[in-house]
Amino acid sequence: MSDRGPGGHPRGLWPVPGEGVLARHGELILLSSIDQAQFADALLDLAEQAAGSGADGRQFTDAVADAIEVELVAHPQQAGSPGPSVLAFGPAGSGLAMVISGGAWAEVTSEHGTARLLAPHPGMLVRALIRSAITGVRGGLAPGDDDAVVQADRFSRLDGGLVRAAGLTYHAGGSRAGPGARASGQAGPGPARSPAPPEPEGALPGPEGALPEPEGAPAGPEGALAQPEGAPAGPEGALPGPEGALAQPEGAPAQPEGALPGPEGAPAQPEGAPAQPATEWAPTQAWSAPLDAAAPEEAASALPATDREPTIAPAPGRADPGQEPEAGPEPEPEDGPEPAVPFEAVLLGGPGAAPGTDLPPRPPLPLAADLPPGASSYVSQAPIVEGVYCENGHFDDPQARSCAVCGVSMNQQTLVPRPGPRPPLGVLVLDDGAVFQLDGDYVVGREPSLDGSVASGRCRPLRIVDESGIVSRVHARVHLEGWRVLVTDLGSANGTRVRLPGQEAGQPLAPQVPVMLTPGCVVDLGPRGFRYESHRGR
Amino acid sequence: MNSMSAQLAADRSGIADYRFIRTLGTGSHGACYVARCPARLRADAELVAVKVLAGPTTRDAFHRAARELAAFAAVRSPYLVTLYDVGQQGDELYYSMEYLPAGSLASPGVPASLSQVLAAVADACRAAHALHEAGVAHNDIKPGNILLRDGGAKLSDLGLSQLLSPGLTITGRGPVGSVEFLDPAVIRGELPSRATDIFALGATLHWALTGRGVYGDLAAESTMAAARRVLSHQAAIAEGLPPGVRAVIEAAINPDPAARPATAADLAERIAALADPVPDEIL
Repeated sequence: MSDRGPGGHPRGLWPVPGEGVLARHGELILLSSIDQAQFADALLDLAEQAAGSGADGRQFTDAVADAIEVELVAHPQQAGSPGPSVLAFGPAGSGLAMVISGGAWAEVTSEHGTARLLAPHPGMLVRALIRSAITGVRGGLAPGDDDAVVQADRFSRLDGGLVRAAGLTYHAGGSRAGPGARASGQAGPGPARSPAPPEPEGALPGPEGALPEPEGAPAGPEGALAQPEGAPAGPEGALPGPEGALAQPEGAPAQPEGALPGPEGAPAQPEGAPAQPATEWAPTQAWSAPLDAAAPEEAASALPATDREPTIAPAPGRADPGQEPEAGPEPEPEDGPEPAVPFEAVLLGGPGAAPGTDLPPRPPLPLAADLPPGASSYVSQAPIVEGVYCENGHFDDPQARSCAVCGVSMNQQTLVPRPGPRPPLGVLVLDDGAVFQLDGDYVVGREPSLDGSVASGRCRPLRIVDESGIVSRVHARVHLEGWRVLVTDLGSANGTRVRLPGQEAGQPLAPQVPVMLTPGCVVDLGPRGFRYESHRGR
Repeated sequence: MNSMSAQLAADRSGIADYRFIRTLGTGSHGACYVARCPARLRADAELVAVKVLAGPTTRDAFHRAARELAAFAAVRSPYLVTLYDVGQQGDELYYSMEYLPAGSLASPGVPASLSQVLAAVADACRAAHALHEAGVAHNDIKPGNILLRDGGAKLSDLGLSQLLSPGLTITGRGPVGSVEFLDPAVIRGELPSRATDIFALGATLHWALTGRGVYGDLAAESTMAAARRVLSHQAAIAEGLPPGVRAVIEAAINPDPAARPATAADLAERIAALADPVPDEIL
């Protein structure tokens, strides 16, 4: 512990000369190897942009982690290679958010002591959220760098921009709003304090603490996972099992060392629970890129991050009685970009879902050759209408002069109308290219589901986006009557017009009066519209 | 990597417990993102693709979608994209699936060679066949739904929009529209079947090899006109394709469904047979 840091400066960032790049934008700090120059460039851009958009350390390190992740997926390293070495951090709340990958390491010092963080496995990435105010950070790009080697250059403080560097020493000092305020009160001004006081009892869990505990990973097969609002959820986000009971795999997940305590230390530790580590920080996420055959297992069992992790919780009272009561509501960082919003999810196939679903297996689709001619696959629930069969067996409008399917001429004298399932009568082609099949009735508008006939299931909603608001929420109905297609204006604010093929101007519709559409007709609903297309009736 | 920076400014950072890393694409019916794989999925992947459907979804629609996606997911085939979950947060519906970074046949990460195209479409045929045998028609087969991977492809994205917007047969505003890949019989109202999927596979192969649909270049047309053109024209095959390839496409898009290959597996075999002797320079 020969490093005393560059003394004489209250706060600041000092580079350790070497073969990497150190960037600082405001309070966002990035140290990266540059052997993959393009990637380093991307990270540097990202840091600059993050600072420009006012991102805090959490958002910044999230983005850096994402970039590393994508880089690792896009360019898998050779087995054994650590991947890009990156250390990035910035203020988050009253503490610090940090991400480390490759050969990079960091020592974080707070009032509780010093913790060393690194990502020892190839393709591993460690993210940390330190909740308490930090006083200093030291770091480097190669795991071999240690105190003897890492000597910041006291004459080259970096206040902004970037320099070549292989390591850094950062003092929060006394004037920073968040951590600084506390740090100065408790630890005195920066220069007097070494960034690495050897305080064993205050030592933070090593990087091992960041590794996921596979047995503690939540398991919840196909059951729908509903989160009761405000239900308590541990950082593990335990999932209910198939029947909604808490799925508790072997070995109840112990509160991971260094798990986040609630805000302001609110949650009472259950009796007999291990004492909360003195230092308030937690690895928030750890994962491994699949660099070799073994890696995917690690990835699959990745620690459910406390950071913005879903709060999928068992219903209160349904918890396994053997389970220790959880420590309280998930601490939601006040500066978190999004609060946990309840959601419901059904797992589909994949390794996590139970095999089979509640669906009976369906029979294979018939082969085209096995279908009787004309017996196309029309919906069986189609309404029964009076129609005639052409000589090829297609069911048609008795008024039609030729078959709508095969075009054969219909000799109406010889055809006796018979009841049969009505085939679709064509399609509605929206002006955005969407096509809707006319085998049922539609209500068209910006919010067609507001119409009672949609709510009752009699009509389908055909939702049209119209920023201008000229299209009414419930604008018009298209409905089928026998072999006819009718359109009705439902009292829209700005009216509906029907244009015959080739016509320039449309005829305005009287509200609530159905009008028959012939193929090629365009229905204008103000700025939007649709066309009725069919081979029928020609 | 520039998209990483853009991510910071992206207005959407996630849904449910998915954290979006970047946007894969958006359309009038929703957007698709790359997201971290939440641990609860217990999936063997770091990244997943998440589709978020545009517009509010009712509980009913959610349950319908869950049923249909479960049917898709229950079909075990190495040629189908793995589905992870379907969920609703507020009134928004999403579903997640395997993320394949190499892009789709519509926009491959690197230009696909002839043999890659043939292998990819043959795999899509095999996937469709697996679905058909399980009683499911895909009904939205197109280059954008054939996701490339080493030596082949996986078929993705059941035509879910139809479930959520019942009656919808073509979604609007895709980068590569669906309209030219859909059997006109479906546009006219027939239900999707083996034969209609086989048409789509043939039209997809045609597009992937020639850059044009079987109705010519519809890109310049308005989408409404494109649909009209498909409904009023016969599909035709571009000149200049090798005779073997041409014959396979011709069979797949034959106006008479009974004259098409009987199953998608048959079509896969015919396409795979093309791949063997055909050297890349044939195009």
